Amino acid sequence: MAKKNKNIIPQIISASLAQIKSQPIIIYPFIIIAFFELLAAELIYFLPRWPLNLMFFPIARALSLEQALSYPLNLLFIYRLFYYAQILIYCFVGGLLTAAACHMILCINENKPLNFKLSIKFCLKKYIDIFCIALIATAIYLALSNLNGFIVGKLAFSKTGMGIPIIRMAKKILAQGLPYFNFIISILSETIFAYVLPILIIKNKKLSGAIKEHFIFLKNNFLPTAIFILIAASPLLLFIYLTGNIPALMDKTFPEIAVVILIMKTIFSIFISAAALSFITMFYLSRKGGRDV
Amino acid sequence: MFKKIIRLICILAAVGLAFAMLDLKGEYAAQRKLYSAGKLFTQIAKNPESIPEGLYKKGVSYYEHIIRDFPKTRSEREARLILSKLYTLQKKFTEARAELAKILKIYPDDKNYCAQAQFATGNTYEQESKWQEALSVYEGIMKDYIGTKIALNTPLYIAGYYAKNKDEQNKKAYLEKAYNYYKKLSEQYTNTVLGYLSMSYEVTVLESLGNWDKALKTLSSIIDKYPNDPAIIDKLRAIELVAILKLQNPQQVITIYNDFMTKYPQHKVNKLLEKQITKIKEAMEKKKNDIKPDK
Repeated sequence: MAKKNKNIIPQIISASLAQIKSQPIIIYPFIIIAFFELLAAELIYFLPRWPLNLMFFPIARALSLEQALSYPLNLLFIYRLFYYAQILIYCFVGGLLTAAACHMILCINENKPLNFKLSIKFCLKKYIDIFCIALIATAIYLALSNLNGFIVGKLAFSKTGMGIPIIRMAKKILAQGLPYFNFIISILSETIFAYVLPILIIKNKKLSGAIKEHFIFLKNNFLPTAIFILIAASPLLLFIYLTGNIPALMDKTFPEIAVVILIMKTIFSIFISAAALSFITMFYLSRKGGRDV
Repeated sequence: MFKKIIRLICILAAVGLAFAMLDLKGEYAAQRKLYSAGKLFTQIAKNPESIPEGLYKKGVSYYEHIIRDFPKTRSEREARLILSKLYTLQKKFTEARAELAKILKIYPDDKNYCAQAQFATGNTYEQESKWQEALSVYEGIMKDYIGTKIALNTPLYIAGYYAKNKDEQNKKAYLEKAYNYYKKLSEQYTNTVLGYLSMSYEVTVLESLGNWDKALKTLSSIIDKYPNDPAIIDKLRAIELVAILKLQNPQQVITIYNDFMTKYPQHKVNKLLEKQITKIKEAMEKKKNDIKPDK
């Protein structure tokens, strides 16, 4: 079993990548998600300008965020607002489109004709369930991420042991590593809910049944699932590094570099999300359907 | 799929273009220009002596463009001030003052901005070693732009000038003058923010003069007149520092705190005051006991 596990990961990865290459339509739902995200980013970028500033200025003033309206500081605030926009997009549209991509992978595996509109139609019938899954997954991520921030904050910024150089250095590393810990948290939270959407679509089950089956499946396959998601998401580490250094980059190059990085990250996320979903769906199908990959 | 992707990109480009076109001459566009000009200004200001004339000209032209292309924006106002600084760095003091004079002419109602312009004018005289002219401009600010932050800071700035030049006699004389200035303001604008700020400045002046008795009385008056001051804790700390460390008279703190609690029995700091009174009394008792065995 252990030997089988060792081999299955590269097999699934190469099969998934080959599938994406031969059927690039799988990426299309993620392109639409990226489109909504970029549209949101665009609107956020134009918030300090007329006419959007008429609406945003009173809100910014009420929240003491006037700096968000002045150049170039507004470019730093884009990330904060974009984060909230991403959450909303994921809950309302992202989950549905991801489910559609999942349905398309299923169609490929069952040699059925591929049609994005039909996949969306199929998933729309399960919209409430998909929305709930997206909501729960987001809540889990936010809870874990906040807990992580709280714990790291307590450990890194407490005064205890500040006199000892090793502890001081460890605290510094801990504080600087917060975005990377958040990355691990996002991998974990995605793993915790990875198969619910594929099971909901592939098995055509109800939400509670899908969650139940997901946990039964995950119990025996937690590690390969986490590895799949980690491999797919690893290019994001570059963007985490760049995002952490944005003020310095803005100063050394040009302020709009912050927006360029955000756009690049969103475009990269198309392939990352497609790859992650393809890996786990193929893995689930291979384990449950007994298919060869 | 390719066509669909192109369509999505076109939508994004159209939205972007539309919003960009809507505000070509607004505050944001001006801020962007100002940022670019600011980078050049920083470069010049770092080493003004060794900057070639061409770079100065480039900087001047940047700011002149902002002033011309973005009238009545905040950035235009800032550009005028920075342009005058650029002339000052070039030692073109007459041009700098002419630019600042335009501010007074164009924006006479913006007291803060005019005070800033006048202060910059004073600075140009100072750099030309024309202190009397500078002093006259600074005193003009104190008279004409009452209530602005710059006007409030100016008397201390002038005293600081004398201190920097080791002119103790003038420094002391000006601190006395500053005290009278703040005193007058605090009486004239009592129960206003300006009145409160003037009293705080009074304390600073009295501390600089070493007049701790008066400083303590003024601090006590501040908490008495302005009990809802958000920085009341800082004032209480100052009272303790002055009375205990400078005047060696902790009993005065107890008297001031008791008077405050009697006048404002429901005030939120009263618990803290009681705690502090207990602490001070304990410290006084301890000191008494420490002295006895020596005797």
